Amino acid sequence: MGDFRSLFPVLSSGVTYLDSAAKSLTPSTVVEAMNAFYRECDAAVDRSVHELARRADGLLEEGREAVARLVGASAGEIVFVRGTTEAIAQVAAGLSWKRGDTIVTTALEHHSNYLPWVRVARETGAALRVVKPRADGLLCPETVERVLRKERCRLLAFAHVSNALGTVQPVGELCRLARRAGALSLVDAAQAVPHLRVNARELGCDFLAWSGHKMFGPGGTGALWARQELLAKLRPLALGGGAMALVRGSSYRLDRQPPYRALEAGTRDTAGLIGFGAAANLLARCLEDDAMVRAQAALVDDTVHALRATPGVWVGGPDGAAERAGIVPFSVGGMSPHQVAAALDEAGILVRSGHHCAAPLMNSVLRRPEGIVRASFHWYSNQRDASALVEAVASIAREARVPA
Amino acid sequence: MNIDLQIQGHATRYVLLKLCARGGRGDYQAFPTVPLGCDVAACGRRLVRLGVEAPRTNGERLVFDWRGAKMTMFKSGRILLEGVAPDRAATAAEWIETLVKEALGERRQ
Repeated sequence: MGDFRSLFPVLSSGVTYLDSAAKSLTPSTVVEAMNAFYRECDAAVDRSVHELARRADGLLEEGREAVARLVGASAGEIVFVRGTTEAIAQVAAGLSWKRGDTIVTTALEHHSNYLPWVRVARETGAALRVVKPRADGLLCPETVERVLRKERCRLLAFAHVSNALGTVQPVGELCRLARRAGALSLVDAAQAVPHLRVNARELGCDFLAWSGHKMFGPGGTGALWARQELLAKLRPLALGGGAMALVRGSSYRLDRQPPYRALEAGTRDTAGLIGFGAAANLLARCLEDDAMVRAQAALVDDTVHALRATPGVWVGGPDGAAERAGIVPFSVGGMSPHQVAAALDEAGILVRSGHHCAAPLMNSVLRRPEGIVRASFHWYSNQRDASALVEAVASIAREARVPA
Repeated sequence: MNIDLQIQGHATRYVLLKLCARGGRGDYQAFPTVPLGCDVAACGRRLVRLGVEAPRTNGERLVFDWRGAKMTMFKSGRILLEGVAPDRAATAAEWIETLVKEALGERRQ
Protein backbone atom coordinates (compact mmCIF):
# COMPACT_ATOMS: atom_id res chain seq x y z
CA MET A 1 0.00 0.00 0.00
CA GLY A 2 2.89 2.34 -0.76
CA ASP A 3 4.32 4.36 2.10
CA PHE A 4 1.51 3.61 4.54
CA ARG A 5 3.10 5.52 7.43
CA SER A 6 3.06 8.75 5.44
CA LEU A 7 -0.75 8.72 5.79
CA PHE A 8 -0.33 9.48 9.52
CA PRO A 9 0.80 13.08 10.09
CA VAL A 10 1.64 12.53 13.78
CA LEU A 11 4.35 10.02 12.89
CA SER A 12 6.38 12.71 11.11
CA SER A 13 7.23 14.12 14.56
CA GLY A 14 9.42 11.05 15.13
CA VAL A 15 7.55 9.60 18.12
CA THR A 16 7.39 5.86 18.66
CA TYR A 17 3.67 5.47 19.10
CA LEU A 18 2.71 2.25 20.86
CA ASP A 19 -0.57 3.26 22.49
CA SER A 20 -2.88 2.32 19.63
CA ALA A 21 -5.10 0.12 21.80
CA ALA A 22 -6.17 3.30 23.56
CA LYS A 23 -6.40 5.48 20.44
CA SER A 24 -5.14 4.67 16.99
CA LEU A 25 -3.60 7.44 14.96
CA THR A 26 -5.81 9.18 12.44
CA PRO A 27 -4.78 9.07 8.78
CA SER A 28 -4.95 12.15 6.58
CA THR A 29 -7.64 10.44 4.46
CA VAL A 30 -9.96 10.35 7.49
CA VAL A 31 -9.15 13.94 8.46
CA GLU A 32 -9.86 14.98 4.87
CA ALA A 33 -13.21 13.15 4.81
CA MET A 34 -14.29 15.00 7.96
CA ASN A 35 -13.01 18.34 6.68
CA ALA A 36 -14.85 17.83 3.39
CA PHE A 37 -18.12 17.51 5.30
CA TYR A 38 -17.59 20.87 7.02
CA ARG A 39 -16.32 22.51 3.84
CA GLU A 40 -18.93 21.19 1.44
CA CYS A 41 -22.15 20.13 3.16
CA ASP A 42 -22.19 21.32 6.75
CA ALA A 43 -25.82 20.58 7.57
CA ALA A 44 -27.97 18.50 9.93
CA VAL A 45 -28.83 15.11 8.50
CA ASP A 46 -32.27 13.47 8.36
CA ARG A 47 -34.60 16.39 8.82
CA SER A 48 -34.14 18.83 5.97
CA VAL A 49 -35.19 18.82 2.36
CA HIS A 50 -32.40 21.09 1.17
CA GLU A 51 -29.39 20.29 -0.93
CA LEU A 52 -26.70 20.42 1.77
CA ALA A 53 -28.67 18.11 4.05
CA ARG A 54 -29.23 15.67 1.21
CA ARG A 55 -25.50 15.56 0.50
CA ALA A 56 -24.70 15.13 4.18
CA ASP A 57 -27.26 12.31 4.40
CA GLY A 58 -25.61 10.61 1.46
CA LEU A 59 -22.15 10.78 3.02
CA LEU A 60 -23.40 9.57 6.39
CA GLU A 61 -25.14 6.56 4.87
CA GLU A 62 -22.07 5.76 2.77
CA GLY A 63 -20.18 5.74 6.07
CA ARG A 64 -22.74 3.36 7.59
CA GLU A 65 -22.37 1.04 4.60
CA ALA A 66 -18.57 1.04 4.92
CA VAL A 67 -18.75 0.30 8.66
CA ALA A 68 -21.25 -2.51 8.00
CA ARG A 69 -19.11 -4.05 5.22
CA LEU A 70 -16.18 -4.21 7.62
CA VAL A 71 -18.03 -6.79 9.77
CA GLY A 72 -19.90 -8.51 6.95
CA ALA A 73 -23.20 -6.84 7.85
CA SER A 74 -25.80 -4.74 6.11
CA ALA A 75 -26.18 -1.02 6.82
CA GLY A 76 -29.61 -1.55 8.40
CA GLU A 77 -28.03 -3.57 11.20
CA ILE A 78 -25.60 -0.85 12.31
CA VAL A 79 -26.41 1.62 15.07
CA PHE A 80 -24.02 4.54 15.28
CA VAL A 81 -22.96 5.24 18.86
CA ARG A 82 -20.19 7.17 20.63
CA GLY A 83 -18.08 4.07 21.15
CA THR A 84 -18.00 0.56 22.59
CA THR A 85 -18.95 1.84 26.05
CA GLU A 86 -22.17 3.37 24.76
CA ALA A 87 -22.94 0.35 22.57
CA ILE A 88 -22.77 -2.00 25.56
CA ALA A 89 -24.66 0.46 27.77
CA GLN A 90 -27.39 0.52 25.11
CA VAL A 91 -27.74 -3.26 25.21
CA ALA A 92 -27.70 -3.35 29.03
CA ALA A 93 -30.35 -0.65 29.25
CA GLY A 94 -32.24 -1.84 26.20
CA LEU A 95 -33.08 -5.41 27.23
CA SER A 96 -35.62 -6.11 29.93
CA TRP A 97 -34.27 -7.92 32.99
CA LYS A 98 -35.91 -9.65 35.88
CA ARG A 99 -35.05 -11.60 39.01
CA GLY A 100 -34.06 -15.10 38.01
CA ASP A 101 -32.12 -13.98 34.92
CA THR A 102 -28.40 -14.72 34.91
CA ILE A 103 -25.76 -12.70 33.12
CA VAL A 104 -22.38 -14.30 32.55
CA THR A 105 -19.30 -12.20 31.94
CA THR A 106 -15.58 -12.69 32.60
CA ALA A 107 -12.84 -11.34 34.83
CA LEU A 108 -10.99 -10.21 31.69
CA GLU A 109 -13.39 -7.49 30.75
CA HIS A 110 -12.82 -3.81 30.34
CA HIS A 111 -14.95 -1.98 32.91
CA SER A 112 -17.32 -0.95 30.12
CA ASN A 113 -18.28 -4.61 29.62
CA TYR A 114 -18.32 -5.38 33.32
CA LEU A 115 -19.88 -2.52 35.24
CA PRO A 116 -23.09 -2.33 33.15
CA TRP A 117 -23.80 -5.93 34.16
CA VAL A 118 -22.94 -5.25 37.79
CA ARG A 119 -25.48 -2.44 37.71
CA VAL A 120 -28.16 -4.48 35.93
CA ALA A 121 -27.75 -7.21 38.54
CA ARG A 122 -27.88 -4.74 41.41
CA GLU A 123 -30.96 -2.94 40.11
CA THR A 124 -33.05 -5.85 38.81
CA GLY A 125 -32.15 -8.79 41.01
CA ALA A 126 -30.60 -10.66 38.09
CA ALA A 127 -27.62 -12.83 39.01
CA LEU A 128 -24.14 -12.05 37.70
CA ARG A 129 -21.57 -14.78 37.23
CA VAL A 130 -17.95 -13.89 36.46
CA VAL A 131 -15.84 -16.55 34.74
CA LYS A 132 -12.11 -16.47 35.42
CA PRO A 133 -9.75 -16.94 32.48
CA ARG A 134 -6.40 -18.71 32.63
CA ALA A 135 -3.45 -16.52 33.61
CA ASP A 136 -2.61 -15.96 29.94
CA GLY A 137 -6.11 -14.56 29.42
CA LEU A 138 -7.62 -17.48 27.52
CA LEU A 139 -11.14 -18.48 28.47
CA CYS A 140 -11.71 -22.19 28.78
CA PRO A 141 -14.91 -23.09 26.84
CA GLU A 142 -15.62 -26.00 29.20
CA THR A 143 -15.63 -23.64 32.19
CA VAL A 144 -17.92 -21.20 30.40
CA GLU A 145 -20.25 -24.02 29.41
CA ARG A 146 -20.49 -25.27 33.01
CA VAL A 147 -21.55 -21.81 34.18
CA LEU A 148 -23.99 -21.35 31.30
CA ARG A 149 -25.71 -24.68 32.02
CA LYS A 150 -25.90 -24.24 35.75
CA GLU A 151 -28.46 -21.45 35.71
CA ARG A 152 -30.91 -19.89 33.28
CA CYS A 153 -28.49 -17.64 31.46
CA ARG A 154 -29.90 -14.73 29.45
CA LEU A 155 -26.66 -13.24 28.21
CA LEU A 156 -22.99 -14.10 27.82
CA ALA A 157 -20.89 -10.90 27.48
CA PHE A 158 -17.17 -11.13 26.72
CA ALA A 159 -14.35 -9.48 24.80
CA HIS A 160 -13.12 -11.02 21.56
CA VAL A 161 -9.64 -9.65 22.34
CA SER A 162 -8.54 -8.66 25.85
CA ASN A 163 -7.72 -4.94 25.99
CA ALA A 164 -5.03 -5.56 28.60
CA LEU A 165 -3.41 -8.81 27.43
CA GLY A 166 -4.27 -8.98 23.73
CA THR A 167 -5.53 -12.56 24.13
CA VAL A 168 -7.84 -13.68 21.30
CA GLN A 169 -10.76 -15.79 22.53
CA PRO A 170 -12.37 -18.74 20.73
CA VAL A 171 -15.27 -16.43 20.05
CA GLY A 172 -17.23 -18.62 17.63
CA GLU A 173 -17.18 -21.51 20.07
CA LEU A 174 -18.24 -19.34 23.00
CA CYS A 175 -21.15 -17.87 21.01
CA ARG A 176 -22.26 -21.38 20.04
CA LEU A 177 -22.23 -22.42 23.69
CA ALA A 178 -24.35 -19.41 24.60
CA ARG A 179 -26.87 -20.16 21.89
CA ARG A 180 -27.05 -23.83 22.89
CA ALA A 181 -27.82 -22.70 26.46
CA GLY A 182 -30.57 -20.42 25.17
CA ALA A 183 -28.60 -17.25 25.94
CA LEU A 184 -27.79 -14.20 23.86
CA SER A 185 -24.13 -13.34 23.30
CA LEU A 186 -22.56 -9.90 23.29
CA VAL A 187 -19.04 -9.55 21.92
CA ASP A 188 -16.92 -6.54 22.85
CA ALA A 189 -14.91 -6.27 19.65
CA ALA A 190 -13.15 -2.98 20.44
CA GLN A 191 -9.70 -4.58 20.21
CA ALA A 192 -10.65 -7.21 17.63
CA VAL A 193 -12.07 -5.21 14.74
CA PRO A 194 -8.88 -3.14 14.31
CA HIS A 195 -6.70 -6.25 13.93
CA LEU A 196 -8.76 -9.26 12.83
CA ARG A 197 -11.15 -10.10 10.01
CA VAL A 198 -14.42 -10.05 11.91
CA ASN A 199 -17.69 -11.23 10.43
CA ALA A 200 -20.56 -10.71 12.85
CA ARG A 201 -22.79 -13.41 11.38
CA GLU A 202 -20.02 -15.98 11.10
CA LEU A 203 -19.08 -15.42 14.75
CA GLY A 204 -22.65 -16.33 15.63
CA CYS A 205 -23.05 -13.55 18.18
CA ASP A 206 -26.17 -11.52 18.82
CA PHE A 207 -24.52 -8.17 19.58
CA LEU A 208 -21.15 -6.85 18.43
CA ALA A 209 -19.78 -3.56 19.80
CA TRP A 210 -16.72 -1.62 18.71
CA SER A 211 -15.20 1.87 18.51
CA GLY A 212 -14.03 4.07 15.67
CA HIS A 213 -11.13 5.61 17.57
CA LYS A 214 -9.19 2.33 17.75
CA MET A 215 -9.45 1.70 13.99
CA PHE A 216 -8.15 4.98 12.44
CA GLY A 217 -11.41 6.84 13.16
CA PRO A 218 -12.07 9.88 15.33
CA GLY A 219 -12.95 9.74 19.03
CA GLY A 220 -16.63 9.66 19.92
CA THR A 221 -17.60 7.25 17.16
CA GLY A 222 -18.53 3.59 17.31
CA ALA A 223 -21.02 0.99 16.25
CA LEU A 224 -23.39 -1.57 17.64
CA TRP A 225 -24.31 -4.44 15.35
CA ALA A 226 -27.22 -6.66 16.24
CA ARG A 227 -29.59 -8.95 14.45
CA GLN A 228 -32.50 -6.87 13.12
CA GLU A 229 -35.11 -8.56 15.30
CA LEU A 230 -33.07 -7.72 18.41
CA LEU A 231 -32.47 -4.12 17.34
CA ALA A 232 -36.21 -3.75 16.87
CA LYS A 233 -36.78 -4.70 20.53
CA LEU A 234 -34.10 -2.63 22.25
CA ARG A 235 -35.39 0.17 24.45
CA PRO A 236 -33.48 3.33 23.41
CA LEU A 237 -31.08 5.05 25.82
CA ALA A 238 -32.44 8.41 24.69
CA LEU A 239 -35.57 9.75 23.02
CA GLY A 240 -35.74 12.74 20.75
CA GLY A 241 -35.23 14.12 17.30
CA GLY A 242 -35.11 11.71 14.39
CA ALA A 243 -36.12 8.66 16.44
CA MET A 244 -39.87 9.12 16.60
CA ALA A 245 -42.63 7.99 14.25
CA LEU A 246 -45.34 9.86 16.13
CA VAL A 247 -45.62 12.28 19.04
CA ARG A 248 -49.11 13.23 20.15
CA GLY A 249 -49.71 14.76 23.56
CA SER A 250 -48.03 12.49 26.05
CA SER A 251 -47.98 9.48 23.75
CA TYR A 252 -45.34 8.60 21.22
CA ARG A 253 -44.26 5.82 18.94
CA LEU A 254 -40.66 5.02 18.01
CA ASP A 255 -39.60 4.92 14.38
CA ARG A 256 -38.22 1.40 13.94
CA GLN A 257 -37.78 1.52 10.17
CA PRO A 258 -34.92 0.93 9.79
CA PRO A 259 -34.49 -0.46 13.33
CA TYR A 260 -31.41 1.66 14.11
CA ARG A 261 -33.38 4.88 13.72
CA ALA A 262 -35.09 4.61 17.12
CA LEU A 263 -31.68 4.14 18.74
CA GLU A 264 -30.04 7.25 17.25
CA ALA A 265 -32.03 10.10 18.74
CA GLY A 266 -30.56 13.59 18.52
CA THR A 267 -27.94 15.15 16.29
CA ARG A 268 -24.93 12.93 15.90
CA ASP A 269 -21.34 13.82 15.16
CA THR A 270 -21.93 13.63 11.43
CA ALA A 271 -18.39 14.58 10.44
CA GLY A 272 -16.98 12.05 12.89
CA LEU A 273 -19.20 9.28 11.57
CA ILE A 274 -18.25 10.12 8.00
CA GLY A 275 -14.63 9.84 9.18
CA PHE A 276 -15.51 6.51 10.82
CA GLY A 277 -16.69 5.30 7.41
CA ALA A 278 -13.47 6.47 5.73
CA ALA A 279 -11.52 4.69 8.45
CA ALA A 280 -13.46 1.47 7.82
CA ASN A 281 -12.55 1.61 4.13
CA LEU A 282 -8.85 2.02 4.93
CA LEU A 283 -8.89 -0.70 7.58
CA ALA A 284 -10.59 -3.11 5.17
CA ARG A 285 -7.67 -2.62 2.76
CA CYS A 286 -5.17 -3.44 5.53
CA LEU A 287 -7.06 -6.57 6.58
CA GLU A 288 -7.22 -7.79 2.98
CA ASP A 289 -3.47 -7.32 2.50
CA ASP A 290 -1.95 -10.67 3.49
CA ALA A 291 1.57 -9.23 3.58
CA MET A 292 0.49 -6.56 6.08
CA VAL A 293 -1.34 -9.14 8.20
CA ARG A 294 1.75 -11.38 8.32
CA ALA A 295 4.05 -8.43 9.06
CA GLN A 296 1.96 -7.20 11.98
CA ALA A 297 1.71 -10.66 13.55
CA ALA A 298 5.48 -11.15 13.22
CA LEU A 299 6.19 -7.72 14.71
CA VAL A 300 4.12 -8.43 17.81
CA ASP A 301 5.48 -11.96 18.17
CA ASP A 302 9.10 -10.82 17.80
CA THR A 303 8.55 -8.10 20.41
CA VAL A 304 7.07 -10.62 22.85
CA HIS A 305 10.05 -12.94 22.42
CA ALA A 306 12.62 -10.14 22.67
CA LEU A 307 11.07 -8.78 25.87
CA ARG A 308 10.74 -12.25 27.36
CA ALA A 309 14.47 -12.69 26.81
CA THR A 310 15.24 -9.42 28.64
CA PRO A 311 16.37 -9.89 32.27
CA GLY A 312 13.99 -8.39 34.80
CA VAL A 313 11.06 -8.16 32.39
CA TRP A 314 7.77 -10.04 32.76
CA VAL A 315 5.59 -10.43 29.65
CA GLY A 316 1.97 -11.53 29.93
CA GLY A 317 -0.56 -12.98 27.53
CA PRO A 318 -0.49 -16.20 25.53
CA ASP A 319 2.52 -17.84 23.88
CA GLY A 320 1.07 -18.45 20.44
CA ALA A 321 1.10 -15.60 17.90
CA ALA A 322 -2.36 -16.67 16.66
CA GLU A 323 -3.79 -16.17 20.14
CA ARG A 324 -2.57 -12.58 20.48
CA ALA A 325 -3.66 -9.45 18.62
CA GLY A 326 -1.67 -6.23 18.64
CA ILE A 327 -0.95 -5.99 22.37
CA VAL A 328 2.21 -6.70 24.39
CA PRO A 329 1.64 -6.48 28.17
CA PHE A 330 4.72 -6.34 30.37
CA SER A 331 6.28 -5.03 33.56
CA VAL A 332 9.79 -4.39 34.84
CA GLY A 333 10.89 -5.76 38.21
CA GLY A 334 11.50 -3.11 40.85
CA MET A 335 9.54 -0.38 39.09
CA SER A 336 5.88 0.51 39.00
CA PRO A 337 4.14 0.43 35.60
CA HIS A 338 3.74 4.22 35.69
CA GLN A 339 7.47 4.65 36.38
CA VAL A 340 8.28 2.45 33.39
CA ALA A 341 5.85 4.26 31.12
CA ALA A 342 7.16 7.66 32.23
CA ALA A 343 10.76 6.55 31.65
CA LEU A 344 9.79 5.30 28.17
CA ASP A 345 8.03 8.60 27.48
CA GLU A 346 11.23 10.45 28.39
CA ALA A 347 12.83 8.38 25.59
CA GLY A 348 10.07 9.26 23.10
CA ILE A 349 8.28 5.90 23.33
CA LEU A 350 4.59 6.21 24.08
CA VAL A 351 2.85 3.37 25.90
CA ARG A 352 0.12 3.07 28.52
CA SER A 353 0.34 1.91 32.13
CA GLY A 354 -1.97 1.02 35.00
CA HIS A 355 -5.05 -1.15 35.25
CA HIS A 356 -6.27 -0.46 31.70
CA CYS A 357 -9.82 -0.28 33.08
CA ALA A 358 -9.58 -4.00 33.87
CA ALA A 359 -9.33 -4.07 37.66
CA PRO A 360 -10.84 -7.59 38.06
CA LEU A 361 -8.15 -8.97 35.74
CA MET A 362 -5.30 -7.17 37.52
CA ASN A 363 -6.45 -8.07 41.02
CA SER A 364 -7.97 -11.52 40.79
CA VAL A 365 -6.29 -13.13 37.76
CA LEU A 366 -2.85 -11.58 37.24
CA ARG A 367 -2.48 -10.60 40.90
CA ARG A 368 -0.71 -7.43 39.86
CA PRO A 369 -2.50 -4.73 41.81
CA GLU A 370 0.04 -2.18 40.56
CA GLY A 371 -1.17 -2.88 37.00
CA ILE A 372 0.98 -3.48 33.95
CA VAL A 373 2.54 -1.63 31.02
CA ARG A 374 0.90 -2.12 27.64
CA ALA A 375 2.60 -1.58 24.29
CA SER A 376 0.07 -1.78 21.50
CA PHE A 377 0.77 -2.00 17.79
CA HIS A 378 -1.23 -1.03 14.73
CA TRP A 379 -0.95 -1.21 10.98
CA TYR A 380 1.48 1.74 10.86
CA SER A 381 3.83 0.22 13.47
CA ASN A 382 7.16 -0.99 12.16
CA GLN A 383 10.34 -2.80 13.14
CA ARG A 384 11.97 0.45 14.24
CA ASP A 385 9.17 1.00 16.76
CA ALA A 386 9.58 -2.53 18.11
CA SER A 387 13.38 -2.26 18.34
CA ALA A 388 13.19 1.13 20.06
CA LEU A 389 10.81 -0.34 22.65
CA VAL A 390 12.90 -3.44 23.32
CA GLU A 391 16.15 -1.45 23.65
CA ALA A 392 14.59 1.15 25.93
CA VAL A 393 12.93 -1.46 28.15
CA ALA A 394 16.24 -3.35 28.43
CA SER A 395 17.97 -0.14 29.46
CA ILE A 396 15.26 0.71 32.02
CA ALA A 397 15.39 -2.82 33.42
CA ARG A 398 19.18 -2.52 33.82
CA GLU A 399 18.80 0.83 35.59
CA ALA A 400 16.10 -0.64 37.82
CA ARG A 401 18.67 -3.02 39.24
CA VAL A 402 20.80 -0.02 40.34
CA PRO A 403 19.45 1.12 43.72
CA ALA A 404 17.38 4.24 43.25
CA MET B 1 -5.22 21.22 36.73
CA ASN B 2 -2.56 23.86 36.14
CA ILE B 3 0.05 24.91 38.72
CA ASP B 4 1.90 28.15 37.91
CA LEU B 5 5.39 28.57 39.35
CA GLN B 6 8.44 30.79 38.92
CA ILE B 7 11.46 28.63 38.09
CA GLN B 8 14.87 30.12 37.44
CA GLY B 9 13.19 33.47 36.89
CA HIS B 10 10.77 32.12 34.30
CA ALA B 11 7.06 31.52 34.60
CA THR B 12 6.61 27.76 34.37
CA ARG B 13 3.37 25.90 34.23
CA TYR B 14 3.00 22.41 35.65
CA VAL B 15 0.03 20.35 34.50
CA LEU B 16 -1.41 17.80 36.91
CA LEU B 17 -3.18 14.74 35.43
CA LYS B 18 -4.82 11.78 37.05
CA LEU B 19 -3.45 8.46 35.82
CA CYS B 20 -5.17 5.12 35.41
CA ALA B 21 -6.73 4.28 38.80
CA ARG B 22 -5.53 1.27 40.78
CA GLY B 23 -8.00 -0.29 43.15
CA GLY B 24 -8.93 2.69 45.32
CA ARG B 25 -5.54 4.37 45.09
CA GLY B 26 -5.01 7.45 42.98
CA ASP B 27 -1.92 8.09 40.88
CA TYR B 28 -1.10 11.44 39.36
CA GLN B 29 1.49 12.87 37.02
CA ALA B 30 2.66 16.46 37.11
CA PHE B 31 4.85 17.78 34.35
CA PRO B 32 6.19 21.14 33.27
CA THR B 33 4.93 22.27 29.88
CA VAL B 34 8.60 22.88 28.96
CA PRO B 35 11.13 20.23 30.16
CA LEU B 36 13.42 21.64 32.88
CA GLY B 37 16.63 19.59 32.82
CA CYS B 38 16.90 19.04 36.60
CA ASP B 39 19.89 17.70 38.51
CA VAL B 40 17.86 15.09 40.37
CA ALA B 41 20.64 14.32 42.87
CA ALA B 42 20.77 18.00 43.88
CA CYS B 43 16.98 18.08 44.07
CA GLY B 44 17.14 15.12 46.45
CA ARG B 45 19.61 16.93 48.74
CA ARG B 46 17.33 19.97 48.91
CA LEU B 47 14.27 17.86 49.64
CA VAL B 48 15.97 16.43 52.73
CA ARG B 49 15.57 19.93 54.23
CA LEU B 50 11.83 19.49 53.82
CA GLY B 51 11.90 16.32 55.87
CA VAL B 52 12.12 13.84 52.98
CA GLU B 53 13.93 10.78 54.28
CA ALA B 54 16.58 9.01 52.25
CA PRO B 55 15.70 10.03 48.69
CA ARG B 56 17.21 7.51 46.22
CA THR B 57 18.60 8.35 42.81
CA ASN B 58 20.32 6.53 39.99
CA GLY B 59 21.11 9.76 38.19
CA GLU B 60 18.06 9.46 35.95
CA ARG B 61 15.29 9.53 38.52
CA LEU B 62 14.79 10.55 42.12
CA VAL B 63 12.52 8.32 44.19
CA PHE B 64 11.25 9.22 47.64
CA ASP B 65 8.27 8.84 49.94
CA TRP B 66 6.06 11.78 50.76
CA ARG B 67 3.15 11.56 53.17
CA GLY B 68 2.48 7.92 52.36
CA ALA B 69 2.79 8.29 48.60
CA LYS B 70 5.67 7.22 46.35
CA MET B 71 7.14 10.10 44.37
CA THR B 72 9.38 9.81 41.31
CA MET B 73 11.04 12.90 39.87
CA PHE B 74 12.64 12.82 36.42
CA LYS B 75 15.30 15.09 34.93
CA SER B 76 12.65 16.78 32.81
CA GLY B 77 10.90 17.93 36.00
CA ARG B 78 8.11 15.39 35.55
CA ILE B 79 6.89 14.01 38.88
CA LEU B 80 4.85 10.86 39.41
CA LEU B 81 2.74 10.67 42.58
CA GLU B 82 1.66 7.09 43.28
CA GLY B 83 -0.65 6.08 46.09
CA VAL B 84 -2.53 9.33 46.67
CA ALA B 85 -6.26 8.90 47.31
CA PRO B 86 -8.12 8.86 43.96
CA ASP B 87 -10.17 11.99 44.59
CA ARG B 88 -7.40 14.17 45.99
CA ALA B 89 -6.21 16.18 43.01
CA ALA B 90 -6.09 19.36 45.11
CA THR B 91 -3.85 17.64 47.65
CA ALA B 92 -1.60 16.36 44.88
CA ALA B 93 -1.34 19.89 43.46
CA GLU B 94 -0.36 21.28 46.89
CA TRP B 95 2.34 18.63 47.24
CA ILE B 96 3.72 19.41 43.79
CA GLU B 97 3.91 23.10 44.62
CA THR B 98 5.68 22.42 47.92
CA LEU B 99 8.10 19.86 46.51
CA VAL B 100 9.01 21.70 43.32
CA LYS B 101 9.50 24.93 45.24
CA GLU B 102 11.91 23.20 47.59
CA ALA B 103 13.63 20.96 45.04
CA LEU B 104 14.31 23.80 42.64
CA GLY B 105 14.48 26.59 45.21
CA GLU B 106 11.75 28.74 43.69
CA ARG B 107 8.44 30.29 44.73
CA ARG B 108 4.95 30.27 43.44
CA GLN B 109 3.70 33.36 41.57
